[in-house]
Amino acid sequence: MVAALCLLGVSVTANSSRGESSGLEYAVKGAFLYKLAAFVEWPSSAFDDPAGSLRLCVVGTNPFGEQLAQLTAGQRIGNYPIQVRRLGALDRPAGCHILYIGNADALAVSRTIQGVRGKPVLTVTDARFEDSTRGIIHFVLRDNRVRFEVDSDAAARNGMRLSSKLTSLAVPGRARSFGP
Amino acid sequence: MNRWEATPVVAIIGAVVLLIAGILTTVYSQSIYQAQKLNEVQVQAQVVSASVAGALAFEDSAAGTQYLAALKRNPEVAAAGAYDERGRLSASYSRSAGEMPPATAPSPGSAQRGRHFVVVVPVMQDSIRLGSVYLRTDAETFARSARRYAGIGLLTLMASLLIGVLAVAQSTVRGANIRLKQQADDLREVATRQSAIFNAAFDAIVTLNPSGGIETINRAGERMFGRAAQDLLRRDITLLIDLGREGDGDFLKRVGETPEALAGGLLREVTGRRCDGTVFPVDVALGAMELPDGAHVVAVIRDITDRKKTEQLKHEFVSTVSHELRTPLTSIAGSLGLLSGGSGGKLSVAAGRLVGIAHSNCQRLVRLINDILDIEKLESGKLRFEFAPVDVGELVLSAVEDLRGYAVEFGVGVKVAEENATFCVRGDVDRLIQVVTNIVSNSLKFSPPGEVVEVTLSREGHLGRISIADRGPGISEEFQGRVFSKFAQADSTDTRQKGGTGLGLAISKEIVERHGGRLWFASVPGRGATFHIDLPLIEVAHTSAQETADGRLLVCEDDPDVAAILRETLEQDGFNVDVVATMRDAATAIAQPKQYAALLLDLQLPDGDGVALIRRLRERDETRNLPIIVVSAYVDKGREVARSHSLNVVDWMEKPVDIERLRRAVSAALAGSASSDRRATILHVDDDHDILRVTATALAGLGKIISVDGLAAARAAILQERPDLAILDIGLADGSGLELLPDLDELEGDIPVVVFSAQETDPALLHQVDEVLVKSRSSMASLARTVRRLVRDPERPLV
Repeated sequence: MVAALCLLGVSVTANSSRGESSGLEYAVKGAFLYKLAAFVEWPSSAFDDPAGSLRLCVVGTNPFGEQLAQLTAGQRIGNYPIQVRRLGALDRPAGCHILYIGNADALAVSRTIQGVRGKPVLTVTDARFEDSTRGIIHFVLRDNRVRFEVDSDAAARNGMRLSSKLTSLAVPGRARSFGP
Repeated sequence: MNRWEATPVVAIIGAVVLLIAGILTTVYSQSIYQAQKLNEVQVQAQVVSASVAGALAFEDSAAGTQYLAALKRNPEVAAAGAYDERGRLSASYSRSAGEMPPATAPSPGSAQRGRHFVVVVPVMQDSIRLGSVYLRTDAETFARSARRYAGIGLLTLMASLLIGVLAVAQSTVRGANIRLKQQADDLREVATRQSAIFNAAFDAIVTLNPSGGIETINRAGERMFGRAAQDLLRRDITLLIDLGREGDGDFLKRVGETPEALAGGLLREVTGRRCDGTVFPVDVALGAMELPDGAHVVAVIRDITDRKKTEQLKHEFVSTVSHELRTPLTSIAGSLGLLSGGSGGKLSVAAGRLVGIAHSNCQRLVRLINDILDIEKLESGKLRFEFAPVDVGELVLSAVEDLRGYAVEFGVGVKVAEENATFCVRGDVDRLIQVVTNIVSNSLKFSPPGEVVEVTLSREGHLGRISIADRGPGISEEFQGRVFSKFAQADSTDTRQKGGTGLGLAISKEIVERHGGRLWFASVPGRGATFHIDLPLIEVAHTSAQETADGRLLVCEDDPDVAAILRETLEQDGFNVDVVATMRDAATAIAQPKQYAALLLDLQLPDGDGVALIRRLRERDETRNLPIIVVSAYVDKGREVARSHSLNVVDWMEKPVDIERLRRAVSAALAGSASSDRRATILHVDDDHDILRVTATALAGLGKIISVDGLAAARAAILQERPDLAILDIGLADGSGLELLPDLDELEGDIPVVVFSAQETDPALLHQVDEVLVKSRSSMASLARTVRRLVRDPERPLV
């Protein structure tokens, strides 16, 4: 933990050009990412392999660096270890449980989201990258704190259910995407 | 253990059980309650943790605080905190300003910290440790409930204790009541029994308080004295019976007894008084009841009027019978004696033998009657002993002397040991002679001819012993126990040979015992027997003259001149003399506590018979031993009042008369009379004609016998011819022979008088007057001497 903190601090300093406390911000988001898994219900088909793991995938830009892997080391969701994967452009995201879309391109984001529609993938978008297209979870910043919006319909479309503990913490969304 | 003792035990056990149960319950429920409470808080914390999970996961302090704020609804929650996985306080809740959760998460757990329950639970979501929740609640209400529990428990305990105590108390009280009731029943039963005994008793039962006041009296008592119980309450017992001195004070002291003496029972014969004033004899048995307030007395009173009457009747019967038996016997014995003596002419051998048989048997009959009378007198206590110092040595010699003839008859010798140390006892000399005579004669009877009966005197400690030893057949084992019983003779075949009445030893034993001694024997059958008479020794005390009694004499004489002479004579000799002129005055004077040393009594008194007075005086304890001198000095009117008055001569004899003795007495009396050259004239006054005839025959050779049967005839005879001797019977049909004394005295010279009496009813009189009538033919001058002698030494026989 301390090491992670130090790293955070380093990365915060390193990434200070990107924006104040953005390193800290992504540390928090990273933590949120895997914690989200605790408040989400996948259909049983998503976890049919007992020897499997919960796959936390990042597509597009990886703002977390190595933090994710560090943060999730040793953690388990239920009985599943968390596996962090960095998806290339050509990798198919359907095998992921949580998919963080770090694209600034709204179209790419939308296309990614469409690609996993109906599949039990928790799509997480980030307002930092693109604010018009939203996944099921959409990280936003409010009062200098990391918050998120949730789209329960989108979750339902993907066959997932979001815990009320999660949804109650969500901030209300401003604009809805009427995208597909 | 009865019911009433089991109940308190049960109650106590029950109370203890309740107590233990109460304590256990309280403690148990306390701990359960505490666990329960902790659990509740824990659950509460879990709920909180679930609700803040999201806030913690996503670092939403506001949300967390909001969730925690919901705890406000529970007033018991003092503080709560939500901490992230790093232990940093993310959100908090405080009930009040001072109650803050800790800044960093404490380790998970639950415990009671003083007045708070503190619970820390981890916040997990789907296996992810998100942080922890801290919850602190008041234990106050718990404590309050605990206290309430304790209070209830205590109350239960006290209630149970109270119930237990009440049960114990109640059963104790009930048990005590049962016991009390039982005691009351027992007491009532005892009281009922006692009351029944009290009232059913035939004798009067009276209980007295220590002062002699009557507390209770039973029905028999009311009947006996003719009074009602309530009238007698608190009255003194002397109202009913003459017991104890009059006055106040301790009753027992008045009676002269102590409670301890009463413990052995005390019986007295006193006089009872009925409400109408009549008196009657009673036996009183006293017992003591030691009560807290002193010695109460219970008196059981028995009316013995009937008994006395019976005794009196018996006594009269015996004496009447004896008189009736004796009188003819006198004649028989006398006649036979005379016959065998040859007074009726010479008898043939055969006739002589027959007469001898009849005579000796007659004498035996006489002795038997005497013995029976003696025994009766002894047993009824009527036999009066004249106790005086007795020289036993002389007594024994005199008794043995009298038996010489008897001894010769049996061919047995009597030896009185020479070296005998004589001793003195206090006793009646005649009766003791009777005893010694009886035993020696028995020994003589049972000794074989040629043997010797030995009499020895010895001292054994404080006793003097007369031992009479014979070498006869001894006394067999079987008979030894019956030796002293009445009419017991060893061998009935012996009876006729040996003679004897069978009463001798019984009488002797009684006499010895009345003397405070013991009559016993030792015998080896076949070797002889030795009888011992033990008597308490006395020191030969010189009866000192009672200087005070020396003082006062009472003279009862109606002739003032004679009285004056008597007074003068006696006063010259140093006596104080009181003179009275009538019998009544004499009786009054004697009744007064002034002690008279002697009474000089004229038989011929204006208001009565001096003999009757003598008799009365002899019956009373105080005057029984009063020396009485009968004075019939008759002043020859016209003669100078000089000292030429004579007194009377008497010698008493008892019927059945011993003719020999009579002859001796008459001879002796005549020998002293003035004229011896002419045939003496003997006046015999007796109302029994047979006696007259026998006596006349017996005295035929001594003189001319004039036999008359009454006073009047006697007086006529005296007028006709002056007798030289008078033989008087006391019991005459028309008076007492003594009444002739004055008449005799009127005659010239002194006439000796011999007096007969068969009146057993006045043994005291006879015996006493024997002492009293002075055998003196001398003049007044010797009266004083005689009186003095009588006064100083009244026991000494006067010859």
